[in-house]
Amino acid sequence: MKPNSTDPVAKPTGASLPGLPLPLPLQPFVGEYRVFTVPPEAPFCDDVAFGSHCVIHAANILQDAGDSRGLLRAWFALLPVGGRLLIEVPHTFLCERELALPSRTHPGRRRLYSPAMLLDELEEALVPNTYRLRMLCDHDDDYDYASSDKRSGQQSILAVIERIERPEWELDTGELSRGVPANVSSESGRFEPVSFEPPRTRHEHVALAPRHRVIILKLDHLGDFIMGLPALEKARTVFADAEITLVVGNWNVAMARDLGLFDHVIAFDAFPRNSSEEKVDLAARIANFETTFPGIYDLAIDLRTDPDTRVFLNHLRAGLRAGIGTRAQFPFLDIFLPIDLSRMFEGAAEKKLEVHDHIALAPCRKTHHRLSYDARKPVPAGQCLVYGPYAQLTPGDYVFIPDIEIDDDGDRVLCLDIACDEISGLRLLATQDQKPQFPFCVEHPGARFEFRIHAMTDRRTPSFSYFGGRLLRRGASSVLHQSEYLALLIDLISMRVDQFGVLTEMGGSS
Amino acid sequence: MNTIVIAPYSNSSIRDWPAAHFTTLIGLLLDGWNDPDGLIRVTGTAGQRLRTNAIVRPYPSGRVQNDCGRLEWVDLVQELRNAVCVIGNNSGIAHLAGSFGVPTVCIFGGSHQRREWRPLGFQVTVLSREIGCSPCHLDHGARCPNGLACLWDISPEEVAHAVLKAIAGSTHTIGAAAPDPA
Repeated sequence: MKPNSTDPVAKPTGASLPGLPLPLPLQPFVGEYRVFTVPPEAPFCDDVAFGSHCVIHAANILQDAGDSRGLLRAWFALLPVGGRLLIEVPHTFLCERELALPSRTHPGRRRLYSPAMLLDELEEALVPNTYRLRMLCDHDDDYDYASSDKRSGQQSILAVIERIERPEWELDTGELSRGVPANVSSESGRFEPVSFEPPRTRHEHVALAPRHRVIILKLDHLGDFIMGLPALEKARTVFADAEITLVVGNWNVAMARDLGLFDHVIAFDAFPRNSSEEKVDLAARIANFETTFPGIYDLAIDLRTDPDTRVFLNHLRAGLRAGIGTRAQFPFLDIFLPIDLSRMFEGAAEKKLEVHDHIALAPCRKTHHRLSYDARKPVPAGQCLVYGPYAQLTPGDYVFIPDIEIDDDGDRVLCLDIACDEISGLRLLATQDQKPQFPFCVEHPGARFEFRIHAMTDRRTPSFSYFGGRLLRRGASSVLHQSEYLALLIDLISMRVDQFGVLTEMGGSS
Repeated sequence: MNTIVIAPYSNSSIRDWPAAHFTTLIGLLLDGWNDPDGLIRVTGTAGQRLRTNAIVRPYPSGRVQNDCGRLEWVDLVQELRNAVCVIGNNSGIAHLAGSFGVPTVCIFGGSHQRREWRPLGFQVTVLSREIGCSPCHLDHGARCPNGLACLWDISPEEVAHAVLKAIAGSTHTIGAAAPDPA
C-alpha cells in the first residue's frame, strides 16, 4: 500500500537529521520520500507528530535502548498508513560475536540481536495486523569472514516494517469475545446473574487462628461419650497448651473428670439421659445454655455426629466454630467436616418393573397391566415369549420377583430367566405353587436388566399372565465408625488451625 | 531487582482472568508499586507468547517482560521463590507460589469451589466473585452462558489493591522456604 501523496508527511514537522547512509538493501523501500532519521540523542522523537513521516530510518539505536518496545511503538506511531520503518541493528553473530550479555566488546550493550530476536521484539511491540514485515535480512556486504577483525564490512540486521490499515476483523486469540450473553441487559450491557446475594468480589486470605481457649461440646449419651474418647484424647494432644472446657451431659461428668484431660468439665443436659423420658424444650435449653456459657472462646467444637446439638455452637461467643455437617446445613460453622448425614445410609430400594415396559411376542396379548398367553395357541419350543424392560441399574445386590399367574391348563411349569447386558443369568422353572425369585449382582454402572419368559421345550407351555415384577436392591451403607468421624473432625480442625489456616474474608467491594 | 511474576494462563479458559484485565492490572501496578525499578515478568509457555505480547505491549520493556517460553522449569521455580508477589489464576503456578510462602494473589474463577481448590499458604490472597451460577464445573470458557462474568467482574483495581497490600504486608524472605506457621 503506497502512502497518500497528498499526505502532509512529505513535509516533516519534527526534527530531521541529515540522512545517514542508507544500506543498499533498504533503498528500494524509500521511493520518492524523504527519509527521517531517528536522532540517537532523542530516540523517542517526542516532538514529532504522529503519522508525519513516510520513511523512518532507525539505525543502531535499539541495541542500547532501555525500552526497545517503547521505541518501536513510538517510531511506528510516526508512520502514516503505507509508511515504512527501516530498522538497522548490529548482528550479534557478526558484530559483537557474542552469544550472551554482558558484552565484552561493547560495555553497556543492553541486548544482542539475531534476526529472530529482532522479529520477536517487533511482534511484541506492534499490534498484529497493523503492519507487515516487508524485509528481514542479514546485511553482511564486504564482511570478511576469514578475518578476526570485526570492523570489516557490513555486520547488521535490516528490517522493513510497513504500516497497513488495520482490518475490522479481530484476530482469534482463543479468548472469549465478551459479546452479549443472553442474560445481559441490553441497556446497561451488564451481566445480570442469578444471585443468592448481591454480586461482589470476595477478598480472602488464610490466617492462623488462636486457640488458647477451647470449648468442646460432647452432649450426647454414655455410648457416644465412650466412642468419642479417641477424639477427646486427640484434642488434648493437638491443643496441648490450650485451656479446654468440656461440656457433657450430667450422666457423663464423672467419667469426663476421671479422664483428667480437661481444665474444666461442666454439665449441661441438652436432652434427657433417656430420650423417652421427656420432650425436649429446645428454646429453653438454648436460653439456659447462653446463661451457662457467657465466656469468650477462641474455638468451639461440637463433637457429635448427629446434627441436633450443632445449634448450640451458634449461641457461644467463639472465634471459630467447628462441627460435622455441611455449610448449607450450618452456615455458622467456620470449620466443617462435610458429611451429609442424610446420605450416610444408602437404604434398601424397591422398584416396580411395569408390564408396559416389556415386549410380548405373538401369540401373547398385552394390555396396560398384563401380558398373557393362551396355551391353546401353539408356539415354537423354547421361543422367548416375553422380554424386557432393559432397566439400567447401579451396582449392587438385587432380587427380582416376577408377578406371574400360571393356569391349570398345561403342565403348570414355566421357564424364566434373567440377563444383565444380554448375558443370561439365573434360569428357573416357575410353578403354580412356587413363585420364583431371582437374586443377582450388578457390578457395572448402567447394566441393563432383562427378564424373560420362554416357551417350554419338553412339554406344553401353560397359559399364564404376567403383571410385571418387583426389583429390590439391598441396602448398603457407606459409613465410618462414630469414633472415626469425630477423630477426623479433630484432625481437620488441627490442620485448619495449625497448618493450612482458616480462610477469612477481609472485605471486598461490590 | 524486585519482581512480580504474573502467570495469566491455567490449563482451561474457564479459569483464565481476561488478558485485557491483566494488561490493565500491569499498568496499575506500575503506577502503584513503590519500586520504580521493579520488574514485572509475565510467564507461560512458548505457545502462549503471542497472546502475552498483547498483555505486555503497552508497557516499557525494561519494566514488563514477556517471559513466555523463555524460562526453564527450574528457572521459573527460582523466579517464583524470588518474587515479591505472584499473581495467578486457579492454576498450578499459584499453588506452587503459595506453597513457597511467597505472597500470592489468586484470581479464582467461579467454575470450581475455592474452598476445595484454592492454593494453600499463609501468604495467599484469594479473590473470587460471589455469583449465583458458581460453581458450574464447566471445563471450557466457551461453554459459559454468562460470558465468564465470575472472572470479568473481578476488576483490575481490586486485584492491584490486593497485590500491593500483599507486598506491603509480606513476611516472606525472598528465596526462602515456606515459613513455619507455628
